Amino acid sequence: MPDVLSIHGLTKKYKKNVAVNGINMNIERGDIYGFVGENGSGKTTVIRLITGLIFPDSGSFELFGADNRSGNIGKARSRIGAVVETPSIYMNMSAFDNLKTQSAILGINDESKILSVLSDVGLEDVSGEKKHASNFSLGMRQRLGIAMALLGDPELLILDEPMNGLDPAGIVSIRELILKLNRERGITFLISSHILSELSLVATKYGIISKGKLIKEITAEQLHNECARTTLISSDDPQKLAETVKHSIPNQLEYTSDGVKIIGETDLNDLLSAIISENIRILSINCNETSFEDYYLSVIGGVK
Amino acid sequence: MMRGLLKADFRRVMKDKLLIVMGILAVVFALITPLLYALIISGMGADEDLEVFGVAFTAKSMFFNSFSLGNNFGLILPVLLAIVLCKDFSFGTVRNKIIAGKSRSEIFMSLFITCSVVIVAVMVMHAFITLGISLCFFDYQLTPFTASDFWYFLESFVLEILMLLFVSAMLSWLCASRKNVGLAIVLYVAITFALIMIGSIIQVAITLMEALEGDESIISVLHFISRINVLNSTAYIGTGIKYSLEDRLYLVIPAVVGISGFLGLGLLKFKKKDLK
Repeated sequence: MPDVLSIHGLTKKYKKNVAVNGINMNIERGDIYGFVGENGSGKTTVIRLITGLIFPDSGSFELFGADNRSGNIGKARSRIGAVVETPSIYMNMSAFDNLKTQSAILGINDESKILSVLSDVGLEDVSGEKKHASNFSLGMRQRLGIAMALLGDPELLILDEPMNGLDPAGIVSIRELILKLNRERGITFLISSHILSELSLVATKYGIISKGKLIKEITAEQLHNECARTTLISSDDPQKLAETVKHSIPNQLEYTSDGVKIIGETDLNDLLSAIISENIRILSINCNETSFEDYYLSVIGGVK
Repeated sequence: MMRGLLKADFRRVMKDKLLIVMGILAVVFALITPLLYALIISGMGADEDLEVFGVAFTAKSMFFNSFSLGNNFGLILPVLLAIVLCKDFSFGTVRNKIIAGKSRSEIFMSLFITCSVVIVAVMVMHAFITLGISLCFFDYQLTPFTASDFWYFLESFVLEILMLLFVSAMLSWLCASRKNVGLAIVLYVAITFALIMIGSIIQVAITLMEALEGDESIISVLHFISRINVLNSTAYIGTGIKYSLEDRLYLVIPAVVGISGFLGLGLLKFKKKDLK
C-alpha cells in the first residue's frame, strides 16, 4: 500500500519546550491510524504540523507524495479533511450556512452535497433549521465539524479527539461512521485519542506518543497478539514439553528457558492430558491477559 | 483561486448581525450630525454665508468631514469591522481555509479585499446620506457650483477612498497578526489616536513657531511630518483649496506607502504565524 503520510524526524519547539521531538510515522492508504498518547504528549501538535497550522523547526513530511517544503503541498492538503481540537465552525451561522460557506472555499456548488454530509453525520434534522451553531450541543458541534471536514471528499480524514463531548449514542454513531467511510469510500483516518478502549474498536494501526516522542508503531494484529491471553507452562524437561505442545495445538508459541508460552485461547484440558500422557512433569502453569491499557502503560512507562 | 475565499469571506460578513448594526449607525450618524449642526447654527445665529466663528458650514464640508476617522462614525466603524473580521480567528474557521490547501497569502489578501469593500461601501453610504441631509439645511458650498467643482469633488472622493484603504490595510494587518480581537482593536485605536494627536501637536507647533518667527528649517521639517501623516491628511481633503501637484503627491504617496507597508507586514507575519 502506498503511503498517504510519511513523517521524517519532525520536531516542533515552543521556546525551550520541545512539543514534538524527531517523530517518524507512516500512514498507508486505507489505514485507520490510532494516535495514542496522554494529554500534552504532542498528538495535537503533530496534527497541526500536518495540516499546516504550525511550522516545524526541523524534519519534514510527505503528504500524498508532496513534500511539506514544496510548492505543491497546498494541492496535497486539499485532499485532506480535519477537525483539529475544537470544531472550526461559525457560531453565528446555522449548520447549513456553515457548510455553504465551506463549499465556497472548496469551490463546490452542489447543495445536495451539503445535505448528504449532514445526513452522514446524523444532522439531517437541523439541515433546514435557522438555529445557530452557538445553540448546538457539544456533540452536535463535533458532528458539524466532521461534516465540514467531509465536504471536500477527503482521502485522509484527521480527527483530533473526535469522541470528546459525545454521549454514548454519539460515540457509537461516530464510530460507525468512521468504519463506514473507511470501508465504503476507502477514506484513510488519523484519529488521535486517549480513550484507548474506543480507539481499539476501529483502529487498524497504532502510534503511541509520549512526551513528544513516538515510542511505538504497531498494527492492530500485532497489538492483538501482544494483548492476547497467554499461558506459560514450565517443566523440568522444557524441550520435550515444547515438542508436545507444538504437536497438540495450532497456537503461536514462544519458547522460554524452562517451558513454553502459548499465545491466544486454548483448550487446557486437552493440552494437559497430552502433556501428562508424555510423562512430562509440570512445574507451574500461569494464565495471563494484558489489556490495551496495560500494554500502553507498559510501553510509555519506559520513557524518561 | 482566491474567488472561493472571497465568496466565503463576503458570505460570513453578510451573515453577521454586526453588518446591520454598522448600517443602522451609518444612517443614524448621517442624520444626527447635520441636524445638530443646523440646530447649533440656528441657535447661535449664523450670517448669510452660514459662517459661525469663521467656520463655513456647507453640505460639501459635511460630506468630506463624514469620512473623518477621528470622530463618531469614523471611529466606530473600524472597531465593529475588526470584530467581524477577527471572528475567522476567534472561531478558528481560518483553519478550514488552510486545511483546504489555500495559501496564507491568498487568505490574507481575501481578508484585506473584504475589509476594504465593506469599509468603503458603508462609509460611502454614510457620507452620501450625510450629504443628502446636509443639503436640506445648508448650501453645497458658498460659491456657485461649476464644472471644475465637480472634478474637485470627484478627486477628493477618490482620495478619501484611498485613505479608507489605508485604514483597511492597517485593520487587516492587526487582525491577522494579533492573537485576539481585543488587542487588535486596542492597537487600532491607539495607532489612530497617536497619528491624529501627533498631527494636532505638530499643527500647534507650526502655528506657534510661525508666529514667533522660529527656525525655518524646523518649520519645514514639521510641515513635512504633518503632510506625510496619512490620518492628518484627511483633514485637508475637500476643504475647497484646489490641489497642486505637490498636494497630490503628499496625499497619494504616504497613503500608498502605508497601504503597501501594512500589507507587507501582514503577509510576512501571517505567513509565519502559528495558528491554534
